[in-house]
Amino acid sequence: MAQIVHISIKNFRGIKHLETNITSDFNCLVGRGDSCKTTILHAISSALSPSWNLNFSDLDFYNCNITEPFEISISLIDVPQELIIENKFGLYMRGFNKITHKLVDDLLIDDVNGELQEALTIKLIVDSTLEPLWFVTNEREHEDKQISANDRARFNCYMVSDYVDKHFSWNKGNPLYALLKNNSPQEETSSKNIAIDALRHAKTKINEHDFEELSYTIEQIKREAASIGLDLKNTNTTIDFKELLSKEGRLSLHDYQVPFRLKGKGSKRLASIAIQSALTKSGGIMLIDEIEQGLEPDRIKLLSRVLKDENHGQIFMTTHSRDVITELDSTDLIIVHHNRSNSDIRINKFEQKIENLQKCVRACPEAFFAKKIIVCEGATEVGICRAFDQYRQRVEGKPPLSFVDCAYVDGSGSELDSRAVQLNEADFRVAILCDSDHIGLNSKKSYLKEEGIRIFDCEINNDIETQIFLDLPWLGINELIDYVVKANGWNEQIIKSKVQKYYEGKFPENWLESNTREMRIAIANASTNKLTVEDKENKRSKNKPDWFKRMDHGEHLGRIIFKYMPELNLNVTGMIFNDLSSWIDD
Amino acid sequence: MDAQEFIEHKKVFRIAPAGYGKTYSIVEALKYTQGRQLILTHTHAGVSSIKEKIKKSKVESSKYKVETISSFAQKYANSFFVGEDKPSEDKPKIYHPFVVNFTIELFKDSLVSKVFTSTYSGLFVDEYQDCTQDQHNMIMTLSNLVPTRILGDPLQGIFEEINKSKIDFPQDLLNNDFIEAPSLSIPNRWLHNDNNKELGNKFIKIRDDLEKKQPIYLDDLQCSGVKILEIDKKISDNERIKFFSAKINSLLSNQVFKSLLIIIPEGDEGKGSIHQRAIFKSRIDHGNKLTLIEAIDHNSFYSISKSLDLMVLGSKPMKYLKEEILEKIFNVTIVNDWFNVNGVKSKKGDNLKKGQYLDSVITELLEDICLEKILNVLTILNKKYKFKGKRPSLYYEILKALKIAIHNGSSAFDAMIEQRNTVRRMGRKINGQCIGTTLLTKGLEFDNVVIINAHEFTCPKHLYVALTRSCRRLFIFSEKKILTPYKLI
Repeated sequence: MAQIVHISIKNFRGIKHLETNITSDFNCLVGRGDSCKTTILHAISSALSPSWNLNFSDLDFYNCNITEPFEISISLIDVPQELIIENKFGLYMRGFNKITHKLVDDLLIDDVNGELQEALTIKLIVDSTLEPLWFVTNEREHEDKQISANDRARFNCYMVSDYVDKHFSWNKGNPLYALLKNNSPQEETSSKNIAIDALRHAKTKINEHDFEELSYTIEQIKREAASIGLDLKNTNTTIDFKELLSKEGRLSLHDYQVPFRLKGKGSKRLASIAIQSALTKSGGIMLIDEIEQGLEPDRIKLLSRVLKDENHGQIFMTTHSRDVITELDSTDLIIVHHNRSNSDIRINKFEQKIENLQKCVRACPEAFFAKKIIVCEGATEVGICRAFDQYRQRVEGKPPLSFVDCAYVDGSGSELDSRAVQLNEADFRVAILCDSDHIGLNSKKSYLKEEGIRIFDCEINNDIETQIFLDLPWLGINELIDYVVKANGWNEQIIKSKVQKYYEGKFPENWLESNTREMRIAIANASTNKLTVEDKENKRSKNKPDWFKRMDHGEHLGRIIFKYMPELNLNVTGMIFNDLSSWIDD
Repeated sequence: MDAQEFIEHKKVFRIAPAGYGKTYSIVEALKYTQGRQLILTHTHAGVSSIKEKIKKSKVESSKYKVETISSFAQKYANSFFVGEDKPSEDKPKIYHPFVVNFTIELFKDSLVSKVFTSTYSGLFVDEYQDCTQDQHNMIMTLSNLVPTRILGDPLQGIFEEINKSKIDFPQDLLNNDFIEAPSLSIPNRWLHNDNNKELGNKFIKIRDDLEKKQPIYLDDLQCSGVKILEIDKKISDNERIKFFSAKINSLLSNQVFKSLLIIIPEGDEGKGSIHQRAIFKSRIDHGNKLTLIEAIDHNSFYSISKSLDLMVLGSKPMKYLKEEILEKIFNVTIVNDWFNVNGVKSKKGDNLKKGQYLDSVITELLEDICLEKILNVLTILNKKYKFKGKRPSLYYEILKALKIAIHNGSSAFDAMIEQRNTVRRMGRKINGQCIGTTLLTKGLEFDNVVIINAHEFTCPKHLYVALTRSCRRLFIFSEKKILTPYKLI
């Protein structure tokens, strides 16, 4: 069944111009609020609308400028056979190359890259008259041909939105009706006939009722009429058949006696999705705006999973929910970026399934709603970022990071660089917050910089703990040791022995007051359980957890850093975070 | 082989003499076919005649589509061509072969052939003898997509002189795995209703003689309804016209002859051309009852509309208007009555005011030349000054094209192409009292046929087509009673 392969939108609502290929049958649009995700769904739904008319207003034009018509072109493959016959749109057929993902108008050009598939492009144009016109179009030199609502209905494209009430009625143009037609394509089963028959039956019943309460009044009228020469002796009361018929959506789904339209928002949306899922099982295009609306997290997850796994048509949905994203693959995501300063809208998609990125989707779904992402080397750095966000708000009076569309995610150490590159390629602005003690990563840093990724790191050969322990005022170091002792339930002896292990020479008795470079390095090494020469000779591996390698510990570490921020300003630690702060605000 | 058996073959052809119900056999076959059938023929006259017969037999319109081979090919070529190098439609000799060859390539492509196969489940081709080599190749390509049934008659292959690359029918089909169905054997045309049964039988012998290139004895045709009118070789041209005119006018005014076709043999020096026929008509048809049958693609349609466009740009507009437009559309004598190369001639007496008015109209046009004003001038000349078109249809078609051009804001030439295509698509009806040639009337039938100068036929096929257009009565004007329409002999 029909599948969208390309979308082009011009001058429609917030979109000045957008062209994008669609490569998947399951598409989840994510992006910050007002990034025009919903507009994209509306564009698809309007261009493939089964209604014979749609109401548009001046507000539907980009910048409300009605002098430029808006145009929405949707190209589809696997279109229904009935549409490609000669007297329908066969002569408007275009070729689609699945491998190069290109639409071709010259069908005789030999393309070594693979077979062409038949494709049609549907174009909706609305100009200042606000009258929508639908065409089948291509780029060959012949006039576009209009396509009727009936033919558009063959694409079975429906949208679940806030106004779903009509989805529960059997009227033509609604998904229930399309499903009915799908199930019995040969028969002329029209729900209209079923409805009329039932209503006739109802009318007979009503006719039998004598409406005795009204008879006195009727008698009075009969007498009056007779006195001026009008015979009304057969007058009685019953219901006007026309009234029964004129109601739209008169035959609709009910839960016992309660019409579906009176159900709760979540249930209504689920019911509507269910009807359309049934349609997409036999092909069809389902559009769902904000899939999570009105649903609990567990139902959101279930719904996302089921839609993805049981879809046989094509689905486009938008979401703001991390619960949706965690259920999906990275290839399902379409990331919509809206640059408000120049109204540019860009769309990005991860074309191949990348295992690493997949973990990122699961681990940090929030990232996919942001514009700037700080990829942290590990849990420590993530914790520090949390503390940094609070520090910026409380002390510097700046807005939360989420307000400036910035997120921070865990880069899981060794995958840090590739994750950063992929996010960067997906058009996010990416920064890395990392150590400088890893030779492998250090060697990649210049490449990452070339790619436009900002790197916030320590002095060469330092991990972040070492950097902090070198830079922090001694008072701060004492506070950190206190915290670690308490957090681990140690006593002074235990911590002393841990630090002593890394101290070369005679370990000073009053080590907690011994503010020397050697002591700072010993504490730093102890905090990361660094392997000593002796450890390496005995082939011992690290088996104890680092002091701060947990988000909450990292956060505490951060709190101490930022407490002493005024004193850190001139050293490396201070510079890292000052620079990071201006990158965030840029 | 009956209709049902005929359509069961995937590739089959049948030879059918004129009047033996060739078209009828297609209509019969439609009763047994599944899905939509494409029926192709050559002429627009053929299209409308087939359509009419199918309608009478009450076959659902969703079961068939009738088109000329050219318009079918054009439809696909216009829809799928991409590029700049498509020849212009006003050069039919280059344009038509291009279109057909392009279409052949299209149908080798799987996507386009899918459009064809999802639209049609079978193909009929009528009048196969008139196919060019290119068209034949196209049909062979299509025959690999859907079951294909072909009908035709080698003896009616009168287009072969025009088609440079003629085909060898039916040999070319046999070479392409087509099987031959027994030819039709009943002269249906003359058995129907009150038609001339005897005449139908007479044609059997004539056909036989023509196939064997024997001399044709017109007296062999003698039966009720047939009149041989021998022309005295010695009389002058004027007397000859009087001879034709007297007979023809007596027919034209008689209700019995309301279905009448006059055929003029085509030949060298423009014999039978639209121009010659127009002159002939003006000399014999005093009551203006005859319809002049025009070729849809006649070059004058295109050349005059091009002139209309050029006038807008031209440097000597008045001379141009007179010589390239007015004299081409209207009767030259009346044009010269009112115009010289400098403008409207000055008139005296009764015509003084009319001349002044016409002068003002022309002056207004020359001040600001545009298609609207040209249209206005042509209409005024026709309505107020009784300018008659050389051929009525030419005048009206030019008028229509101008209106389309003004409406679309296009050139008159483009509008003419659009309008010719519309006529092509719709097909056109030809009936009543007409004057035409064998090429223009092939596939049609009339109750009464008048053949002018039968001795001028130089090809057996043209003569056969001319004779067999008649269902009831036949009038043959000829200098000789024995015809030898074989150029080489």
